[in-house]
Amino acid sequence: MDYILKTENLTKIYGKTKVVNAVNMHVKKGDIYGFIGKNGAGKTTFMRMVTGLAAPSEGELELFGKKDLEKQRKRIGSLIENPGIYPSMTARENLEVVRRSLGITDKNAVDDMLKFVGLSDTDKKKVKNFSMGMKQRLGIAIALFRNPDFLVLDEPINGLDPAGIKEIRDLLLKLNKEKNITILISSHILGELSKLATRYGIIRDGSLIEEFSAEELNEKCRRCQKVFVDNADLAVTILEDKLQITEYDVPEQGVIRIFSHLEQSGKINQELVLGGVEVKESYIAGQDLEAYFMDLLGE
Amino acid sequence: MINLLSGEWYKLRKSKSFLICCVVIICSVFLVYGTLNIGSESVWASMGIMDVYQQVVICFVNMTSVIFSALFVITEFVNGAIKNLVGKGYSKEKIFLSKFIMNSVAVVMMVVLSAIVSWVLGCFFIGTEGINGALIRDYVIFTLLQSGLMIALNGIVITLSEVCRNLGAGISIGIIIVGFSTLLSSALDLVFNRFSISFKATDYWVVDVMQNCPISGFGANVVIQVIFVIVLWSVLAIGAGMWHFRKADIK
Repeated sequence: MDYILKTENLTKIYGKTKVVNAVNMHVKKGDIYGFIGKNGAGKTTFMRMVTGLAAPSEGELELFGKKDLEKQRKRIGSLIENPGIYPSMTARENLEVVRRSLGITDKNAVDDMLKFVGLSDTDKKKVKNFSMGMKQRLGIAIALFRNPDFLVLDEPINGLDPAGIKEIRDLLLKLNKEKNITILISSHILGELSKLATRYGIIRDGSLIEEFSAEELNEKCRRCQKVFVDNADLAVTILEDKLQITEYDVPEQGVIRIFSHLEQSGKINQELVLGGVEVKESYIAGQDLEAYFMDLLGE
Repeated sequence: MINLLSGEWYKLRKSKSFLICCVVIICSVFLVYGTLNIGSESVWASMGIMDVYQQVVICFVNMTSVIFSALFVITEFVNGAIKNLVGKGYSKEKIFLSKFIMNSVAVVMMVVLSAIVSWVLGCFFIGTEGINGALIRDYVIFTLLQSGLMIALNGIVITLSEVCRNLGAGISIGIIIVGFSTLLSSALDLVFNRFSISFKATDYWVVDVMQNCPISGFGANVVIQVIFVIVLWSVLAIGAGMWHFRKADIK
């Protein structure tokens, strides 16, 4: 498997507290990996370890399949918490500092990047007078210098208005699709994240409790009639033979999820009972993404 | 390393705080000459350009430079701009060293600026009668020695600023070092004397050496002592700063 980021039992301990606890994360090439967790769950600390801002207490991490992290981190662009910018400089001056520091010889790189993130018309406006969205875009521009293969973005849409959120979302999708940049992004705005992410990781109290793809998430959140029965085999036979229902699954013993004919839930119950199946409980299930995440996060 | 220095140099050029510090130094030279001149013009019979320059360096330039150094380092952490360098393929040691080098350049520029302004205003207020080859030589040597001592002093401030990473604390520490550390070194001398130890802390503490540095008649032993102090404190400061910066996480 072609992993951009792979961690093994990555742990960070501050004092006696395990802020990140044995996290095994797998980010594949081309993924937009949505990293979800409550405040203080350990998202930022994890990202800081990935980008080299903090040293792991235990565990290992691989970048681009390699362990020589200092070299591989040159291929990472990051925006951790707030963008690292000089407020009394202009956007162009900020990018010029980064261009020189990173040894980028192409002097047009600054103008190109300003244009790419839509800040080319800011002229002599100091960054301290920028809106939150403009600062975030500048932060992303800094992260994008040196054409990274992997972007690590911590809460990049925090504090943005809806238009700003859309701008950043479109920009990230563009980067992923056009430049094939893999993105690890954390956010509290779950609805927004679900418009971007192709894969998710849920962190709770420092531990990564689940990883799944967007398809798996959609499957989990799909609307269905959930029927609790005493004899699932008999119930399935009735569904197929009498009702011609084939879109169902049996996730666990005595539980059937029926994904079609939802408007006929009453009839289904009736047929099951008439066929000799004891229906203990039946209801229409299906969550929106936010409710599902909240369940996972234990809220 | 060249790339890092190029970025640091660009920041220095654009730094408003550096510009303000330079203006403060120029104003302080005007202030010293102006105050002495207003007091009595006959004061110039017993004082020369070198005396004024010494006062400017040990009273104003060192204080201004430590404030600038604290700002130069700590704002990187406050703005979060340090995150744009750490983890981008450069070792933390190189990043720290580039900051130290560029800060040293800034500090030397401040000393040289004070030297030039003191000289020019000296010619204006005192006249050019006393200027001769010996004065020029002493002026240059004094500038070189004070520049070196200033680099060492600011190295200490940079390291302490990197450790505390708090603007208020960093500036306060810098001011305390310049303003009050000599009290401590003098107290240490008394303690050593009480226990009949011949070692004198004031001979090796950078601020004391800065203040006690002669303005003429530079013997070899004076120059060697000053160079030893410069090297000692610079190496200690860089070593400690690099060690801490490598070890500590960036928040």
